[in-house]
Amino acid sequence: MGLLRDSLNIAVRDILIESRRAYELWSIIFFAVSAMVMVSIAWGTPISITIEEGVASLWIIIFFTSILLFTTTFSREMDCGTIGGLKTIPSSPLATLFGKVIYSVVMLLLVIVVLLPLSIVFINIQPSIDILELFLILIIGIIDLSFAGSFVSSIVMYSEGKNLLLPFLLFPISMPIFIPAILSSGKILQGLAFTEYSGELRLLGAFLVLVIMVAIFSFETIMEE
Amino acid sequence: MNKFAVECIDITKQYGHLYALRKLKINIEIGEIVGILGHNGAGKSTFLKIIGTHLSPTAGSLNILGNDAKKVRSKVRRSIGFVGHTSFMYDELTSEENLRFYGKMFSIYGESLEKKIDQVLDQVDIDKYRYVAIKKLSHGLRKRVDLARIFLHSPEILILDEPFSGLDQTVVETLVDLLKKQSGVTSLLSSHSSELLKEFCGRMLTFSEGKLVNDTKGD
Repeated sequence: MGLLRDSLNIAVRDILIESRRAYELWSIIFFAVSAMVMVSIAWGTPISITIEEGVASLWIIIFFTSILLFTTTFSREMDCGTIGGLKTIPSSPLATLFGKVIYSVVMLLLVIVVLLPLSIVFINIQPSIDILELFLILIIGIIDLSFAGSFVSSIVMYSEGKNLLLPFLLFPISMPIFIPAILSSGKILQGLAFTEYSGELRLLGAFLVLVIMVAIFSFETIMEE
Repeated sequence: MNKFAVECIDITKQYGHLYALRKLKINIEIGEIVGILGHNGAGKSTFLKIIGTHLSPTAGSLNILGNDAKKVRSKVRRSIGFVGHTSFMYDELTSEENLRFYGKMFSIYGESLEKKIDQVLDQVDIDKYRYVAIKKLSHGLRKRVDLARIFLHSPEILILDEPFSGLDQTVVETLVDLLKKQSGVTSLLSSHSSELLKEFCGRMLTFSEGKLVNDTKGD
């Protein structure tokens, strides 16, 4: 309970800070929307985009948008010197990581809420009765991505070239998220049954467990420099 | 058995081949006010960071109030108030919001947290700035908010790394007065200026190249 409470405290503080720097959130959303418009133009007419191409484009946009978020997740604490304050608190170092994950999930959810209706217009993702299932996959995918991104962000925060290192490291690490997420999203939009994409869901779940295990064993050392 | 506030047993800190601290053996009694002197790179900040549990020593062990700092880090942190070179306050938040966040992280909630915030803001005389964002405050005022933060959880040990740097004489005097009022609290302060520390430190430790080269006790 203590870990969850401390994580929520950290997440709420980060969201409050983000609300005071609204221009950063708007720049992330603007980047996502303009990327979607550009993808749509690149494909020609939206109607010609297949389901597979549409969901792949959506996840690629989410990935690049998330990099903007993860670049500052831990480095801002480092650059402002507040990372020292996190080392004075008596809670588990994992509370800091989990707090950042919750904050990232909230931010990426906001991006998805904006992107999803636009994706109908621009990349031909047709709403169907399975839209809730698609939303579920998107949520599981961004939880996975938030764990991986926040963890990588913490690893690179002490590095001078952190802005360059983060996408380099995050790209291969997030492949096990994107492949099942794209495949399962495509299958949902094709109207296939749950059994057809349950394998991909299991992969997303297994990846989440793996990242959490790695974080539990290594995050304290990472926080210490 | 004499329980020390801080007990360093052969503490060494190494970064690759570079020694930041070498086999330090220091005991600090409860209630002592200790000044840490030394030039840049002498190991003062590393020493204070290790005592503050921000860093782990490469070798040796550290006991804080009889507790092994490595084994019960969380318990140890509850007894320490640490002020570093830079402010630990979030620029976008107000003084009050910052203190509320840190208070919650020390498991102070509800009515008692609000009372405590009122008390510490009053203690460091910055109550009128409670609703002002940290980024709008001067360096001296930020330092005071930082001090208010460490008084929130009533620590038994205060660690202040260069607390007077960049502050004008009036603010320094206010801080010194504030620290003098903390009776019974063990305090460790680092500074380049021996005059300032001699004014109220009962013991002076001088570091050079990661070693303790002088340990003098006043009257």
